[in-house]
Amino acid sequence: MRIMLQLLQKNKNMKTLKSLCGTSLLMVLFIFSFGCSGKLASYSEEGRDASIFPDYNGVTFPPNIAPANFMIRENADKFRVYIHLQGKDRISINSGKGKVIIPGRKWKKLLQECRGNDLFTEVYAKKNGKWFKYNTIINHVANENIDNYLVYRLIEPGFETWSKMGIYQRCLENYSEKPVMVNDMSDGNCMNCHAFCLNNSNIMMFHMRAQHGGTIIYRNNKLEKVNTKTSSTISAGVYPSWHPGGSIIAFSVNNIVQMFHSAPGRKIDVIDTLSDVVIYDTDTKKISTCNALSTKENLETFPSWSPDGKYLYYCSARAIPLEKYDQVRYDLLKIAFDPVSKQFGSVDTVVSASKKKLSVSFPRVSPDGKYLLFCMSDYGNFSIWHQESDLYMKNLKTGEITKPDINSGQSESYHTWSSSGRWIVFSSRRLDGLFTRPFIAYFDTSGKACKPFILPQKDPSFYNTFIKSYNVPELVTSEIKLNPRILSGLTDDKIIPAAFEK
Amino acid sequence: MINHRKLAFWFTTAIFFLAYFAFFLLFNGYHLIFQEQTQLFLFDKSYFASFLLKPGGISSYTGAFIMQFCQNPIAAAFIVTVAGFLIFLILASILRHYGINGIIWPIVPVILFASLQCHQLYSISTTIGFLISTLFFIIYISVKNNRYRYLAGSVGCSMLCLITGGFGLLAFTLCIIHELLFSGNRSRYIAVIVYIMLAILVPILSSRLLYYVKGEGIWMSLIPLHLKKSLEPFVFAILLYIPLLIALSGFRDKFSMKVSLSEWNWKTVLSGLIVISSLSFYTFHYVYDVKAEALLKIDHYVQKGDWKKALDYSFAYPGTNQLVLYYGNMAMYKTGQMGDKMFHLPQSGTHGLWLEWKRNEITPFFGGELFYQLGYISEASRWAFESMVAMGENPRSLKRLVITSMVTGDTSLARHYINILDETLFYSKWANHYKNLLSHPELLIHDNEIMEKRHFNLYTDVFADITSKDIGLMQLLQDHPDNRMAFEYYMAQVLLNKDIDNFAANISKLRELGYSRIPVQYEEAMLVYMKHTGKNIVPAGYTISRETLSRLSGYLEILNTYGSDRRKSSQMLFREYGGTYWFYLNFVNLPDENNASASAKK
Repeated sequence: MRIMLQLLQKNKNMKTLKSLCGTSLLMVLFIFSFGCSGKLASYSEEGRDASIFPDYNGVTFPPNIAPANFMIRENADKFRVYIHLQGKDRISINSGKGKVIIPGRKWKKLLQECRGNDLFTEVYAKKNGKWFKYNTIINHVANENIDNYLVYRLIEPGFETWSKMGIYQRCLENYSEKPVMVNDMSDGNCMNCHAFCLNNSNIMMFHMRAQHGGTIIYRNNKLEKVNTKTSSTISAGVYPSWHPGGSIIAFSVNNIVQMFHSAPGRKIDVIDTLSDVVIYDTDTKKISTCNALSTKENLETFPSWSPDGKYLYYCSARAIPLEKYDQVRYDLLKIAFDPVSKQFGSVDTVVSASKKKLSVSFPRVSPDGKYLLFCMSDYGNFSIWHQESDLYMKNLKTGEITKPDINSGQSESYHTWSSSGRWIVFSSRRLDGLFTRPFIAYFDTSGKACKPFILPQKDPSFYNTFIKSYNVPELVTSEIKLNPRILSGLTDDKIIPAAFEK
Repeated sequence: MINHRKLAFWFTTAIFFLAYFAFFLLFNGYHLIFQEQTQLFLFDKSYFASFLLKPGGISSYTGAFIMQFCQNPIAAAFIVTVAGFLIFLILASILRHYGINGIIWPIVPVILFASLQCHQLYSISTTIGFLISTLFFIIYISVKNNRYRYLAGSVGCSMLCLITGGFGLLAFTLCIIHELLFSGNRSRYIAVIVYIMLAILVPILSSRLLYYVKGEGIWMSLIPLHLKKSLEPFVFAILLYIPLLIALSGFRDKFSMKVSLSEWNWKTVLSGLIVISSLSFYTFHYVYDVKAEALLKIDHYVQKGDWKKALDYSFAYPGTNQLVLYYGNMAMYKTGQMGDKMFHLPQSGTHGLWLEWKRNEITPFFGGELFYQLGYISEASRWAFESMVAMGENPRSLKRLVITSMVTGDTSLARHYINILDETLFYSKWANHYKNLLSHPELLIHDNEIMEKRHFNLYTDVFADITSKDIGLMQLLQDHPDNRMAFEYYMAQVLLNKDIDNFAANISKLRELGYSRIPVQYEEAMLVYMKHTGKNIVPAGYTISRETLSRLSGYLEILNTYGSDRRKSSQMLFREYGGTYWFYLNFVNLPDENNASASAKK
């Protein structure tokens, strides 16, 4: 070694030698990279689909979605993946352990080129020195973008206890996740039920509970904290829905009981013993209701406005003793509303589920007003704890109710429409039966839903160990201009009391 | 030539740290093992990223990494001793720089840290933060070039605010004192002003730009002011000790004060011994919690399934404690002695049988054990999950969740929890064992634990009583009459509630549960019932032993001797009959009875 060094030091043509070394290194790198991305000369067909996670096979992607990284769950020495549009340039990825991390820029470019076309993913595995090819994965890229941001609450799907929780916004075009509010900034309190007016991130609300309790309302660049509990209502506002006009919020007011099952299969039941629907006018700070929405003999909940603001959809069940909790079944009703006079009109039944021993929850009408998406389970309204809960869709023109092919054997629950009406995001526990994950599905113009896919993460194994649930996924068109530092300033702010208007 | 002074220094140091190691091994080992049980270090990027959300994140991450090795008392004591020794070495080096050479000076903070370490909620991350900050200060004072030193101070201390939280301010303070008292450079005042500005600005700016923290969290991250009030002086002493000592040294030099900080003579040795002994005595006597250590030792043996030791230590516990009683009763059942000796423990109502549900970190962590042992899997799973939420991911809760999910057949869920444990150093082997069982379900029949729990799975769906007044023992028995633990706990419940009628109504189950004889304390209760009602409730094929009958005669004799003097008779009976059901029935007030008598007095 020393001799070699001496020789090198003595060599007068040192520069030449360095240049030679450099060139050789570049050539090796070039050959290596060519070898990596070049087409494989020979391989055998495996004749089956590769096992991949998450399941990004046969799905429809929005053209602005973040790279859908995945893991190949096959035994092999190494893997190679090509992602391409038919007959075009491709992205080539090598992986030793099967983690396929797609370069962001190339993916973005490819998806833009691929709008309205199929996207092909070829997976090769090298075993004992030979290459094998699995069936090509064919996904589709839609023409329509999905709204840029998804807002959700992250919390462990616990029973009574919580520790750290927060409402977060995730940019769907990349992996950036920013907190809107975290309870580290509000003495560890609970917060929930964020809602937006027509996917607009500039009109939003959420509830803070416990010591900093109040409903945080953000509108016209102004923040306020309101106490929506009045002496005439059952509770403070719970499940919200913004009227498309942007000044009225419909709330359910509930007395909620939680119970824990003993036998395997069911864990929790969340039951309303009292429940009405009220509306809160953010301009006048007044809460009001009508007889139909606050009956003693019925439980009214889950208000949801039609996109034209002329109807309020809600769920209603006959109030029966708590012991018969598994016989409480909600029908879906709608009540006419005059946005000018702010008066309610007549009530219609939209889905009569209780007759079929089913129960409706979370009605949401598509932005074009054509479709109504809702959950149905065997009883009750807290569908996330009902394994049998599935999503159903009613064509509001034909009245036909169908069960879109996006459900699983586990609970499907809370759902949101994109502003274009072409995408939905819904909660599902299909991966493990407990941890709620957001799934995205394309809805075509004929009302047909495509196979859903899980929200992509930078690390494809992310969902395998993450112990928080994604609650209340809501799509919004732009970034929320709030953050925990701004919102924590409200924690000690004076709370505005809402007045009840008879 | 041997330097005698040096030899004495290292010899004394070695003795001190051997004693330090022995203390943590013999008196505090279970505190440290408990800490290991309350956290889970994952080799995972997002786990690391989660530490970067608060000031001092790197120190916390390092602390969590180190804590995972506290798997047994020896390893735990060794780790804490090494940390203490590093504090000693760094501080000795700093103090030597200022002409403070005595061994006593760097030992004092080591004892102060030991006091904090005695608390079960103290995190070694604090020690790491202190070590990093003081280590940086050594580097700082070794830089002779003023410009480089100021640059190192500005950048380094600012970084330390992020890496070590509140200890960054300690570093700033030390640098400021050093510049003011030991630097002759003219521009030192500018440097000091810059340091002061940075010490204020860095935490504020980082809280506005990097972290989501507010209030105390901006300045005092990693400073353990949450442990208990009596430990707060120790925390402040740690923060002030070195700056004050260095300042004293600076004033001594500046004003030619006659303060001896260095000589190694009989005065310093004596005063050193007095200081070390006083501090150690104070720590041991007032800070160290012998009862907590005893309780955590019992908990350790319960987790290991060494029920005999758990029971022995429950009896040896100094005083009464609900958690000890709860474990003691469980160990009593597990060692087959519940029906014979249950009242040998200081029982008072059912609060020692199970823990009342509370939404905090401690109750679900300990309280779920009973449900698991009883085979009440949904409750065991609920309490384990609540514990994981309240305390953060921890090996005990996750292992319990793996098993309960496998018992109920939720294999995807079990796999999810296994995936988490698989990313650890010490639990991946355990996780792989169960991963293998999930892949080969046919092997499950060889897993006695899971098979036994599956056997006792409830099939009648009832709701858990969240008031914890009735934990569903009767339901467990109705679904599985062979659930012997549920039976003994039910009988214990009714006996503790002095509900003899329900006890008598269920005594006939002894036969179907395969008891070869009537447990002693059941005999005692049966005699009471039979005497009061005149009904014979001895199940066919069983007899009440002569010993019990003769003991009853002895008991009644003393009782009759002192007649209406309850106090005297209770004193006389306690020695020989304090462990009988008769004594409990006659002289121990139930918590409700105590409350009733207290309100009556009011």
